[in-house]
Amino acid sequence: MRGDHPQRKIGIKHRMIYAGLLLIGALLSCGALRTGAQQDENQKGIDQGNYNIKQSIEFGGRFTSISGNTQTYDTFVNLQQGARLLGFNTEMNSLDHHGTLFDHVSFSNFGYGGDPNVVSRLRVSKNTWYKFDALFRKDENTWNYSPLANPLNPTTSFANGPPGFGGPVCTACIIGFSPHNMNTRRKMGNYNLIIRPESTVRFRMGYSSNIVQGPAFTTIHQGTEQFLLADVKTTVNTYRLGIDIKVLPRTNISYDQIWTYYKGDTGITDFAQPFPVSPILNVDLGVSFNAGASQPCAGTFLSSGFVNPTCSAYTNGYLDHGRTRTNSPTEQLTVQSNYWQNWDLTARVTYSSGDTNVFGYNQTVAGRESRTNLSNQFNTGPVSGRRVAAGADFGATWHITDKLSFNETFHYSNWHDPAAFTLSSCSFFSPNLNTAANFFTPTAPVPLTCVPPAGVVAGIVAHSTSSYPDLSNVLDSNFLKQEQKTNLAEFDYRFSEKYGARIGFRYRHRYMADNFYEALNQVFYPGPTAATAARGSCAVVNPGPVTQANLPAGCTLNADSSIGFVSVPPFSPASAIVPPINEYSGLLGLWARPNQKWKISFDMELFSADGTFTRISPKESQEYRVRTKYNVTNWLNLNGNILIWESRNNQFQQNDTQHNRAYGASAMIQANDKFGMEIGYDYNDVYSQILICYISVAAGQPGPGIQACPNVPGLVQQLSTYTNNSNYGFFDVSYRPMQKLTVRLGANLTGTSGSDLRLDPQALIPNQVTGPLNSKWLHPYGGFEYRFSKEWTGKALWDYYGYHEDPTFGAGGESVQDIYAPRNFRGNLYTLSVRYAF
Amino acid sequence: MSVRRKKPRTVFLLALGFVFVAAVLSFGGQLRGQTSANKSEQKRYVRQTDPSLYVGSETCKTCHEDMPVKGFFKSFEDSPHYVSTLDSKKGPEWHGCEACHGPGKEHVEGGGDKTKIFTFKGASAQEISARCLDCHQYGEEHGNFARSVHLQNGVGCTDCHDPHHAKESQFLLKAKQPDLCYGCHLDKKQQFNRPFHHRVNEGLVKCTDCHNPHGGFQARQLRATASQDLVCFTCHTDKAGPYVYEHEVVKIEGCAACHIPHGSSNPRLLIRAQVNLLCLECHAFSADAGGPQATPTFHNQAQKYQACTMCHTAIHGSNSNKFFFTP
Repeated sequence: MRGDHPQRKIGIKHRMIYAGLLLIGALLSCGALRTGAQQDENQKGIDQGNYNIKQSIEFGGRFTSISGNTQTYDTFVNLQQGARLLGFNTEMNSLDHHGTLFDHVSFSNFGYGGDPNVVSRLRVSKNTWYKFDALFRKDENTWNYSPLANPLNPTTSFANGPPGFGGPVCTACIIGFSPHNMNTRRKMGNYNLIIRPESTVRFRMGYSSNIVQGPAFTTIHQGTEQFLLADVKTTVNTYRLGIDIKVLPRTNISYDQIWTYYKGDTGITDFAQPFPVSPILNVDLGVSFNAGASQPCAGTFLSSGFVNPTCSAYTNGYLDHGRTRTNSPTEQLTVQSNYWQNWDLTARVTYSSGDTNVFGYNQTVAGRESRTNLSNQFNTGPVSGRRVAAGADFGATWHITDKLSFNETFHYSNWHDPAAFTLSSCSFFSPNLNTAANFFTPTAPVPLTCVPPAGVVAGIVAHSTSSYPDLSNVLDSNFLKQEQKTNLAEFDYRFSEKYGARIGFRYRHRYMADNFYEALNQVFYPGPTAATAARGSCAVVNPGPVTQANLPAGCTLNADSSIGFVSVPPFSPASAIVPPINEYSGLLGLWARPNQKWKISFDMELFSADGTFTRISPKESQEYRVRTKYNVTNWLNLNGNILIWESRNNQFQQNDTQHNRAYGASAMIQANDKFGMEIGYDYNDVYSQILICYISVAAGQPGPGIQACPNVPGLVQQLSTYTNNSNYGFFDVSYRPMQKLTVRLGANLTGTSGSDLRLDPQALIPNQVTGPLNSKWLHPYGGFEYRFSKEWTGKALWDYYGYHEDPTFGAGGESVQDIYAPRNFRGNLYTLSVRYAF
Repeated sequence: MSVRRKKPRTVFLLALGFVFVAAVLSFGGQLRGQTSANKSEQKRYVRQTDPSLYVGSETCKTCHEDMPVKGFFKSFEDSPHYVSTLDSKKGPEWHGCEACHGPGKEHVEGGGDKTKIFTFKGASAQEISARCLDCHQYGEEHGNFARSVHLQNGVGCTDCHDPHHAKESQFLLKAKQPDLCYGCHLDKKQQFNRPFHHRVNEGLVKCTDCHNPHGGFQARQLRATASQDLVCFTCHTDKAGPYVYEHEVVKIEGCAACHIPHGSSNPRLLIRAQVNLLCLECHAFSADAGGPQATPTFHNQAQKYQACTMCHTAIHGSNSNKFFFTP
């Protein structure tokens, strides 16, 4: 299971040869070097017909040398080797501003040829007639940071284990990748057309799409954590029609009709089948291998080398699929007006009423869950829901005097998401992986007809006391709602051209409702004894025989020894699960421009609430922000900011305090047209503490000195602290020693240090990885560009990407994950390119 | 409780005091110098409509073809603002240079006297914005700029846009995003340079994809989806739902309850380095009735996993499993 880390290296010698060849090619292709190189901004283009045309193309290649964990590299950077179109721009402008079809066209691209991010933009316009804008983006999302969703297995070996699992150390237990890794592509397109953009009545049309597809991996918790492959495919299409009407003076009325259609077609199947349970059957044991904790099961491997057939495992029949379809038509009316001299008014009303359905939902389980003896399960049923959202916003600025104005902003939103799932479930049970399940033929009426899968024969069903119902109809209905009203009132005063201040008050009222309704109709078959039918919802009330009198309410003992259960709790209308929350904020802001060179602003928000929705939401907070820019001289600009956020939720048994403080400064130096530099530093200090309850038991005992969690038996309570201190520095130097040559050097350097609570202080396995909290992320770069001629420029750029985590835990200072599958990498990228522009 | 009750009252009294002082200063200033109103600040920028005050852009060109820099007028001709000269229906106050700089007759007759025409250099953010918004204040994009955080902090249109020397032809920006935004928001540059980050520096996503720098009705100047949902769902469409089994915090508090949207040293841009610790901060014993369930006693942290999401894979919501085991 250990992840491989192939070293993507090519020899330095070969790289230099490639680089040289490319450079020579570029030189040859541009012909004789000419003098008189000009800057890009002076690119004149060529006049052809009624148009001035400017074009540039930059192409070349990347050469990479990556060592260490390439999965992490792909997650963070993912720039790979190969030829690239690094940039392509075309711009056409009508010389007389009266082109036949268009006056202006601009088309730009970058990233084609294999980069993870590809962008194309097209803009076309014809003076007062139309504007068209198209944007296409593709994002390759390769994500594989190994500790995430990883069981962090110890190296305890398995008796009789296959190679890698036996021996003194189970090296194959260590999972060197994230079981939830993905490699998806997102393609986004936005296309917008405005007709008669400057006229009294203008029309807008738009279409956008967002398609995500590709393989991703996931796990399912059923007995153990089986490894699954998801074939991701989701699509969203959005269509927009709008009209702007400017009939009244200084007033614009807009109406938009928007339709969004979502399609989710992701399918999931079992992925890994590497372990034989018999000569003819392989099974997936999942990703949890902890021999000491009997995971995936006690005695996982038999002396014969086969998997213990009583283990939890999946065979190749797992499937999870459904077609999700969500319609969301939305209407929006916006009015903006300056009709009255001293008033700026904006109002917006939106209403969206959509529906969602999952068609053809089908989950098929094949394998074994040892706790319940489940071997096959078929889940199906329709899902239907709605999303209704209404919004009303109003903003007004009243210019009371030349210097004093009053701002009023009101925001109202109300959405609710009712949704229901009617699940039909058929379960079949087997004593082990090598034995087919048996089915029971009821004589009593049943709510559901189940067709046994191939190989399942009539016989005594191998139920356990934890087995699921054999037949189940479940109606789950959920209703989630939030209504919020926010009002912000501010007075804004300008003392002079140089100084201004504002003071305001924000009030927000939130009402939430969250109702869940469940109705069950289940049948429990007998087997291996008649008494085994009394399980789950129909377990006997008192130890003793299974009689109607000894069964809970809703259970009916049938003549064929099966037990039916019907549960229909009374439906309660929407009610808030938490009391309505009222939030109050006082705001104060000051800004100053003491002179034309210096600008500084300060604003603060003092927040208080009478309740919170989550434990980590603050009841009180203070936020202070200072930002300043100072143009010291023509060649020196200074920036700085201080941002401080402090919060508390001192409710009983929460003891939550948090802060986020950032202090930054930068300088931009442009000494002359030859030398420029930007340098900066930012320090970020994040802290959080809150009481949490959890369970951590080794050798049957919780840790010493840890107090019990109040009111929750079995859990312990501790103060969970989290610190994350980040130092970020950067510089970027550009130097042009001669007219044709520009040299660039820079770096972005981030160092993070911090700590968090270790939840398993007494665990024998050092399985907590805090790598990201003690890490360095470095990106220095450098390069030069040489302008061979007016049209041709050659570029060479070097980038270094380095990621290093410092392990802090474990007896030896490192966790097993750190030892066997570190996330560190070093990557050198060389980009050689030529740019042709005219 | 008494502390909580005092705060709104204190803020209210402070606001009243502020308004009183501001009103006295303001009206006092007006009474002292009614004549200065036209000279410096006006409640609203009012366009002068007398055609005789205007000279037309071609007249401006005679001096400004290459002044103050070479190709000055040509850059205007290539810019979107040149379209204003083609509109024959509106009066001269809406055309060309004078649409922004005001009538130029006095300026011309004064031999180029800068005091006889409006120059943006040195003008306040409010004055500048008033002129720009006279044309551009329509629809959602600019409709709330008068109340935006940017303008309230003295950041006007020309702090980001440069009609004459734009580095970005689209929207005439002074610099490319995100460098333009980093100019003030240095703390965001730090976040986007963390190992886990949205692809803003790479050019895939722009700050303005999520934020409307011209203000709006949402906090943090955030945009919303077409159906008025969280802006994150514009790209992360599979998280939008609605679901039969909702993880309520996603919809009620938003994605930022668990994620740092710009960038983080923590995987998945989470606000905590370990998923378990993040979950337990809410799923612990809660004094609030009806709060989220505490972790069950069979989730032994000495044996179990660092990430709750290993089992609860569909943590953003599920249509098939109330424990979020399947999507």
